[in-house]
Amino acid sequence: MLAKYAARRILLTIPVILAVIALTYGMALYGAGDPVATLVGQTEARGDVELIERLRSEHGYDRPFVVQYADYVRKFVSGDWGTSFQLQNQSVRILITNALPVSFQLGLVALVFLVGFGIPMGILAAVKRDTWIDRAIVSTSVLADSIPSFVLAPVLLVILVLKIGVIESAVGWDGMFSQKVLLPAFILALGPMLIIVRQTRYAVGEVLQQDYIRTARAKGLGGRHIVFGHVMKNSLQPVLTLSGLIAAYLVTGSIFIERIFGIPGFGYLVVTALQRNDLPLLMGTTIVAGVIVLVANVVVDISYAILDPRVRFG
Amino acid sequence: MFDQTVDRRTLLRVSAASAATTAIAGLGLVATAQDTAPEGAAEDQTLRIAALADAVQLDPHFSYGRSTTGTFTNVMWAGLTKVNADLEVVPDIALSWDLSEDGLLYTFHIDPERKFSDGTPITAHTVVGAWNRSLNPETQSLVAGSYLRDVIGAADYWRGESTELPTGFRAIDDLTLEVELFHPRNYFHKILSHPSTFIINPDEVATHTPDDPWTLRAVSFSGPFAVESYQDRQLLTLVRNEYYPTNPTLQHIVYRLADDVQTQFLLYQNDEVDITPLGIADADNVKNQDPTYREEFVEQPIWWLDNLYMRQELAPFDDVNVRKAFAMSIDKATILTAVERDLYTNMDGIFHPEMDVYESGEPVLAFDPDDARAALEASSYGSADALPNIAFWVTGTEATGTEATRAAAMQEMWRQNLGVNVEIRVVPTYEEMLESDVQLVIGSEGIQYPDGSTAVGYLLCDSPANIAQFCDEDFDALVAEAGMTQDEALAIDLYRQAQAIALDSAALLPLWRRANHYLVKPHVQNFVTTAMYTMPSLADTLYISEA
Amino acid sequence: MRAGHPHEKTAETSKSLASALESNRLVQQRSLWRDAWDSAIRNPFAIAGGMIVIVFLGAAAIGPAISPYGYTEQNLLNIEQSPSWSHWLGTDELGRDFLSRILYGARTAFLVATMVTLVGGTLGVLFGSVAAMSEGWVGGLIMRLTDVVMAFPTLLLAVFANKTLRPAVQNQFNDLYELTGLELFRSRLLGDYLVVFGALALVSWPGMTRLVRGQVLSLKHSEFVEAARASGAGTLWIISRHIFPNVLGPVIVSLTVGFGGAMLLESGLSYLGVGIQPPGASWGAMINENLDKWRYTPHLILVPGGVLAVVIFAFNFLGDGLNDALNPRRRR
Repeated sequence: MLAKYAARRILLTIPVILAVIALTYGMALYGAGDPVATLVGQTEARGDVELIERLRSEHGYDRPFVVQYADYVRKFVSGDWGTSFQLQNQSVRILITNALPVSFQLGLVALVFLVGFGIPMGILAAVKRDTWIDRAIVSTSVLADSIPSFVLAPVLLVILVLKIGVIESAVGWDGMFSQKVLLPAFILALGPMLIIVRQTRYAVGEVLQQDYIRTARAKGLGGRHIVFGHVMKNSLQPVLTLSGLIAAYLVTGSIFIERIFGIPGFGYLVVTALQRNDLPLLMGTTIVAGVIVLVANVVVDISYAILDPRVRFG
Repeated sequence: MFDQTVDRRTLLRVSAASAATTAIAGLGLVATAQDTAPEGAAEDQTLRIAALADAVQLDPHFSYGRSTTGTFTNVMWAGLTKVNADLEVVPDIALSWDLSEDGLLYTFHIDPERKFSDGTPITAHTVVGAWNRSLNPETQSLVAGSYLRDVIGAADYWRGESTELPTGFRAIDDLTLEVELFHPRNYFHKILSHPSTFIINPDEVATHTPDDPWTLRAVSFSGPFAVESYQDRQLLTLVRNEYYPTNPTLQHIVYRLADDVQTQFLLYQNDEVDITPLGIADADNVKNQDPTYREEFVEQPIWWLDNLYMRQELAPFDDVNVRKAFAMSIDKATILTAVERDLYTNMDGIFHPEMDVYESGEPVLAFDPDDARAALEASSYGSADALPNIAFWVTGTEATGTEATRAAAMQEMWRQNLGVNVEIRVVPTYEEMLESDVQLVIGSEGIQYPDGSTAVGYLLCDSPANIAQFCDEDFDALVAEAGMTQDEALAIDLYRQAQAIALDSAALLPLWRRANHYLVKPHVQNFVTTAMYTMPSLADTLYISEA
Repeated sequence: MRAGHPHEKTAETSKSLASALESNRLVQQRSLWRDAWDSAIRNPFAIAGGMIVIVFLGAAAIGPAISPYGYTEQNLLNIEQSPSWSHWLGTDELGRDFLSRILYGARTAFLVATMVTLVGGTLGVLFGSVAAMSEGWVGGLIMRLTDVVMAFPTLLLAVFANKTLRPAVQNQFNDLYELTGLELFRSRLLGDYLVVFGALALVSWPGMTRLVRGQVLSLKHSEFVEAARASGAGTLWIISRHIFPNVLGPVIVSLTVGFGGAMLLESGLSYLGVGIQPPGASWGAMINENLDKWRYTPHLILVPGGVLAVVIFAFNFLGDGLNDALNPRRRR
């Protein structure tokens, strides 16, 4: 039964992906700006209409949409994702496969922050509900979520690196285990931290109020036992839902942070592609990002199904 | 996997090079760095420069922007001629050349000692191969064919209109290259100082595939430095080319790549780089407010002219009086001080002061609100109310920042001085702007090589870059003749006459020329930068002194 | 009440059962709202949030009218001044009074967020209800559509949609201007707003749709609805009397929090250069314009950044407070 559910769920993503590709290609080709004209416009050759027409034709952008779409899907599936217009004609697939691990590592460290700070804070807030501790935790996490990352990042950068000198060098990428990753990962974690804290607090709070917990407490069974035992198991579910979304966010949502900290990750590719009308790169990054989100959703749905048998038959 | 360091190959190459150098040095034929390094030079001659990751381009035939060519391409690659620190075009790979009587046939003599950084000799055949590669339609260089368009067969091949290799250039023997032109061009040798004509190793480039680009494993560099390793968007490390004639004192150049200018400044303040370019805000602060870094501040005006164009084929700018009115209502001095923070310098003409062709004099379209209003009244419209809608172009991808500020300031000036409300319109691409009815445009004109011809090219009738839509037969005739005559003095005079025609008819309003600003650490000696963005002393006299 | 056929009697019984249940529920509902209000009042953060929101709304409504200078008024001799008596928040890079621009930015933020929340919310409620109530392929189609839209990372889609819509809207405007000659269509600002609304609404409707659908689905199979169904009530009646009031709570919470999210998203768009274009004042655009000189004139980004954060903060708290208040299971 589970296998059938899982298979059905996975199969359902295929039409979605195809639709995503069609939507993206359509928007890129007809709305967002001509990739060839943009490229040529950046050079001394701008205004050379003949050159632009010739290049557009060579890249096949003057063919009917359906033809282009089918061609693109066919090539994509066989591994040919085209070359980037704006990034020195590099292969889009290689650009993305080089950038994803970087974003992934950054996201992983951010996840450590999230889980390491967010969940304990949420639990603490739930246990100490309606006390000043609870209020302080909630308000701090709301505050953290409200400040745009592109405001916070440069401010922290200058303060911590230049003024206080606590971090030696914060710009660039030396891999997951260098100290450079701490500040960007921390700022990246701030956004979802609110959600984790809130959700954990709510879920734990729910469980703590259940009658059987109250009964157990009334009977004098140890507090910590209860928290860790029952609470963790029952509050897992909502947190699980969110971790799917959050995982997706961590990989694809680090646009501002990567830009400011000079991290050669996925977010940077997305911004470049969008701002400079780099169609092949835009297609590649959007599809990959979409697939990541869909995969995360599928994984979450399947874990739900494992935890809650009712879902499989839904 | 994502780290594109290429260590083993580097090791082999460097050891081979040093073995060779030592052997030859032993014969006293090549002066090594130890011989030329001055007193007080540090042990480790490594220069660290902060640069924009976006500007990196390892292939000279795809180098399109000034910051790319000046900062990177000219450091790694070389051509038949080069522009020196005094902005003169001097021999490089071609030691000398002869020109036929009719000015149509060049015979270049290639330096017999010239080699790539891996020892491969550079011959006339190499040059032919390199140019065939740059012009190959499959290469898709956007500009190669337009720079070599005077050479017989080049443009047709580049445009895909002919499948035959160009016949206009050929190697007579290893050291002699003949180039044949359609018409005389007294500046042709200057064109060869542009990177789109630079010499790469055709055999190496031939192995390129998109999944395995040749640039990432190249070993044959024709310029003063060769690529030692490259981490995409992080670090570009260059090593001295032992075969380069001027014997750089530097051993390594390390480019720290960042995404924006503030990060670069941060790196400099943190002592992670020795030289950094400065963005507007930081340059303003260092130059005008905070003296902390002023000793290390370098300002270099560049050959980058901003012009205000009033498109003549669109009403109301088909009327010369309207153009004059708009031109004369711009108070450039105030904009230069308030918006551009005294970082740029005023220009009243289209030639830069360092050029032979430049001549100082009274500005033709000086700021004068009274004259401006008078001109408007004298026009066929008579008053501001009779004018149709006027739009001012700002590009879509950079609608904030100084460009928008500049536009807003000018918009206000026209409102105050002429009573005209100009609309600011954001149009994403240059092409769309050309097709639209936007009448006012600020355009930037760069100089591709040091010659009057590039300063006037965009005002020729059939130039695709002619935003002003200016077309004057006499202007074209003067420019054509100036480009063909062998009499230098006459050429200068002809260019000046052409400029007069353009300015008298208010075809454009020259605004200002920009400047590059750098911070250079005190232990960097002999730093030189030019109006063409280059840093020529990297290739010879620049060195790091002991801290 | 007619005696008679058995099925009539059943119908009668069902009807009275339904109305009895309903009046019971209405009583419960009334006390739910009252309880919610009581609980909200006691939550200081919700109160604080609410007050800040009111201030914000006030600034948006009358701010530009009472501001000392016009928000586009330049003074090139007076650029980037620190706060002073004549300019309480200093001036920006064109000598424009910063306080006036901040006040105007409040209006921009409010307009954008309101439009987006309204449009996104309305679409979401509509589609969500339809999806839940429909028995056939319509529901499935709607959900697949939400899947497609939600597969795109939010910011990416917003920027993308923005870039795609802009030329279309501008061309339409140009055509409309030619057609009607109305000055309205020359206004680039209006076009900007529409494009941003459209893009952000596109991004936000799926979330609301999912939420509403989930809520409606769970209610669909509840007692009241079954009873009402059995007594022959029409779909529309069921929706308006039973479903809508119960869905309202979560929807309100989502809208409130979504308001802050929309503002944050708009500022992100402006930061990337695709939001409201200058000289229109948007807090996000002001941050973007001044990011490169914040070390020298920090107030130029600290003020819009701070104001943005505080307002989003307020909406988040208000939403949290409402959530706590309206959630019946949380009652102690």
